[in-house]
This record gives sequence, C-alpha cells and structure tokens, in this order.
Amino acid sequence: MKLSQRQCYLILLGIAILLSVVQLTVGGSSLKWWAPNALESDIIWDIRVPRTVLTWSIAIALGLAGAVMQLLLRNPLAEPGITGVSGCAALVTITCLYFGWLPAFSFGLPALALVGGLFGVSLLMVLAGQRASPTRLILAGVAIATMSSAVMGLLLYLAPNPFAFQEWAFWHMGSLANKSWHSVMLALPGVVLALPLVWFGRRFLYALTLSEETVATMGFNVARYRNLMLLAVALLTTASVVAAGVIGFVGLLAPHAVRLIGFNHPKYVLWLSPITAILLLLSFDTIAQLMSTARELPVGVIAALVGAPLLIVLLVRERTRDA
Amino acid sequence: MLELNDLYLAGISRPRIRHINLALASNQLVGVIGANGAGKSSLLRGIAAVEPQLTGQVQFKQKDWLGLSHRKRQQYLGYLPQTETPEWDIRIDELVNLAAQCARPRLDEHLRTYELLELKERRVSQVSGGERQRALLARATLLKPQLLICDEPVSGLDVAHQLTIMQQLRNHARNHGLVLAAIHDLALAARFCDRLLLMHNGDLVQSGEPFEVLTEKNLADCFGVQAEWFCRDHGVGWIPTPLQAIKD
Repeated sequence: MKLSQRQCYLILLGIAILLSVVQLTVGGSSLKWWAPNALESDIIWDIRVPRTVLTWSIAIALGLAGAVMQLLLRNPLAEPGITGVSGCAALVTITCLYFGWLPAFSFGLPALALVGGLFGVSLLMVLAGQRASPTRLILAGVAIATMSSAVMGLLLYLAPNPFAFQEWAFWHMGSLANKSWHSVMLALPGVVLALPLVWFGRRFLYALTLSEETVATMGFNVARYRNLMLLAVALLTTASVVAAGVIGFVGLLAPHAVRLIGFNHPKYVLWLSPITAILLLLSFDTIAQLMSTARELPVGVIAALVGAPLLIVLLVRERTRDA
Repeated sequence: MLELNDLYLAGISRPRIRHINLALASNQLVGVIGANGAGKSSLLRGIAAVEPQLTGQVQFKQKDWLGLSHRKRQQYLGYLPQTETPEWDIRIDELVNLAAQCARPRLDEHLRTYELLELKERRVSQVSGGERQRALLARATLLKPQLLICDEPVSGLDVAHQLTIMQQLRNHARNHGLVLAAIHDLALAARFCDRLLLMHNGDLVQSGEPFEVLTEKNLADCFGVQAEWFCRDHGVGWIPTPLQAIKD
C-alpha cells in the first residue's frame, strides 16, 4: 500500500503525540496527572510541558535546517553545523556568558547569538564567493566551524571561571534538561521567522534536484534565493543553539530517514524532515531521561549514540533494496 | 525573433565567444556545430543568460533578453545543459514536472510524446542514460517554450531515439518557436536543421542553410576533415576522412 503525503503526516503526527505523552510521563518523580497537587501542577506546567514543547521546537528547527541544507547544497552529507552558523552562534553565546557581557534583557542573548549566526552566514558568503558552488560553500563552512570551535576553546582556556570548560563541554553536547518556558520563548521566534522563508523558497529547493545552471533558467535568481535559504538556516540553527546547546546528528539523520523510507522527492524531504526530527528527538530525550542516574545525560550524546547505528541500519536496508 | 549584437564572452586563455552578430527568425531548428572547444556551449549558455560575464546585447521578440527578470525569462525559455545529473533519486514523472506544476493529463500526454509514459513510475537510478536524457529534454519542453536551447540533446542516445528526438525538436520549432541545439553529428544536423551556425575558436564562421555551411572548405578549416556526402530522399549521410590521413 502506498501512502500519500497527507496520510504520512497524520501517521507521523500520531506517533509524535504518543511519544510526547511518553516523554511527559518518564520524569524523575511520578505524578498524579488527573488530580495534581500544587507542587505536581508546577512540575507539570513549568518543567514537563515546556520540555516537550521545547523538544518539538528544537526538532522542527533541526529537521528543517538539515533538509534545507541538504537540498540547497545538493549534498546528502550537509547539515546545519556544516555552515559554521551554529559554531558562530555558540561562540557569541559562550563569550557573553563567561565574560559577563550579559545583555540587560532576557532576549538579548538570543539576539546576540543570532547576530553571531548571521555573522557566520555573511562570512560564509564572503569566503565562498558570489557564485559559490556547493563544494566551496561546504569547505568555507567547515573552515568557519573549525575556527569558531578553536576560538571557543581559547576563550574558555583563558576564562576566569575554573569550571568554565566543564560547563561549556556539557552545554556543547546539547541538553533539554532543566528547561522552562523561557527556553521555549528563546527558540520559537527563530522557528517562526524561518518557516515563511523556507515556504517562500520551497520551489527553488525542489528545483535544485537539477544543477544551479538549469535552476537559473527555471525562473529563480539563484544567488538571491540561496542567501534567503542560508538566512533561514541561520535563524533555525541559532534558535536551537540558544535554547538547548548544540544537538548534533538530528539535522543530518532526519532527511536521511525520510529518504530511506522511500520519500525521495525534495517536497517530502523538506516537509517530512521536521516531523521525523520530532520523533527522533522525543525518542532520544526519553531514552536520556530513562538512562539518567545522578545527572541527566545530554540528549546530544544519546542522539549520536543511537542515531549513528540507526543511520547505518537504514543505509544497509537501502543497499539491500537496491541489490 | 532572436538578435545577437556584439556578443562577447571572455575566457581564461582566450575569448570563449568573440563579437557575434546574428539574427534568427522564428519556427526554425538551428543547429550549432563546430569542433570541441569551438564555443558552441558558451554561445548557448550566453543566450540562456547563465553566463554573467557575457557582454553585448540579446534581443528576443524586441525585448532586452538579458535585462528581463528570471521569472519573465522563464516564461519563454527551455534549457537543457550539456551535462545534467539529477541529485535526488526521484521518479521520472516527478523529474519531468519538477517545479512546473503541470496537470496530470497534460503531463501524461507530454510523457507519451517522449515515449516515457511506461517509465514514469521508475526512479532516475532505474533508467538508462538515454532514457534519463529523454526525460530531461521532456522537462525542458514541458511548458512549450518559445525559445528552446539544448546543448547536445542527442548525445548518449541510440540511433532510433536520436532520430525521434531530432524530429521532436523540429516539431517543437514548427509549433512553438525557435530551437537552438548544439549537435556533433553533422549528418543529423544536415538532415534535420533549417539553419546551421558554424563556430570555430569562439568565432561564428558562417550561418546559413546546411548546404551553404557544410562546404569542403569549412569542413577542412573547422573540423580538419574531408567528406564525401550521400543524399537520398529521406536524408543525408557522409564519410569523413581526417585531412592528416589524406596527407600521409
């Protein structure tokens, strides 16, 4: 039986809701969900529910950014981190946190991180050049990511706080633990701003199945659309970095999972990746909570531990199907 | 319909095309011929407006072609580049309809024209190179462009499909506008094209009907061959011999 895109959405959405319920109920303390007391009510509404909403927001950001990057660069190995955007956003965040240059208002930090992300995108465009090929974009992105990581290491080495490096390492692994509505509010604006941009550029991304030369004759100003899509990726990546640190692998795995279950058309890859990322991140976070002992495992570690073998299984399945 | 004025495209060691002036009427299949590196692809890419360093003027239906917006130009233009590999393993009908949003009956009719209807559910990785080339050409012609530019549209096709595609290009020219195609096979060019443009070292050496262009001198100067031609009611054939071999 062949499923339509709508049926697929509904099925995946149903599974996502089920997984959300599981995620909500696996926390450290057991709760009376139907008749909570004041404390339990606080735990539910100020810890559990924001965590689930944040998981959805971050997953949408990572899945969509991963899909956009792969379609834009015509490369299945591309992921948001490859642009150096998350590195630059993280660098700005770390710099502000550890040197006490915290902005006066709470949304100042994501705004600064966004500036870092946009700086990363601008640097990427300058380094790659006006008519950059996807290969040049990837090389420039890797250079920026490596540089930002090195500068972050240097700053932390020189930081006055002796635990700075440990804190940074934990944050860099990405975590959804101890998050509140504040974190949700940090992530949501980037996602909300990026979605219309991606919607606007969707046909351009579908057309990029063919070479940029051909796409330029299909009614698209390639340079303008590419810059818009990079801006969308910057917004999405920054949103996730600011709210939950650097969670790797989900942005790479989600589009692959969509493709490997048989939906190869860019249309499916673009719009099914966010919901697939939700399923993945909800599962990873649930596993992280279940495996936790004294201190909760960062979800980024689980994403890499579970995601890598899962990707291998999907690849083997694909090879078997082709044989 | 199409006018080129002083078209020039700089290259690394020498200009890729040099000061080309030309006017082409509508409803013609125009073959661009020349040896490797003669500037055929550069000329076609220049007209397709995918060469930003191109200088000169291109007028299409009295409009400044290079000054048109991408979206406006796309309403007239169909383009098939020399090499094209779809990055994602999508179905043939999805490839033909990529970013075109054509209704299913019209799409199926178009697929039938290009003998792709039975292959429509196969993926790009499941068809031969020639079938993929046909699908790419079908994509370029789906919206019936008034200016169709094809860079070696029959390369990699078997002889039957070469003839079919050339006939389809000629039909497209008759029904919808101007078709410009770079062609290596001079017999095919002579048989199907209304007009030939002979390129050599970035220069337009001659433009005219096939029998005017494919002269002994031009073949010797531009291709380094001497040819014996055979003409029949339904086509032409030739036996080329390299000049070097004759001298030896």
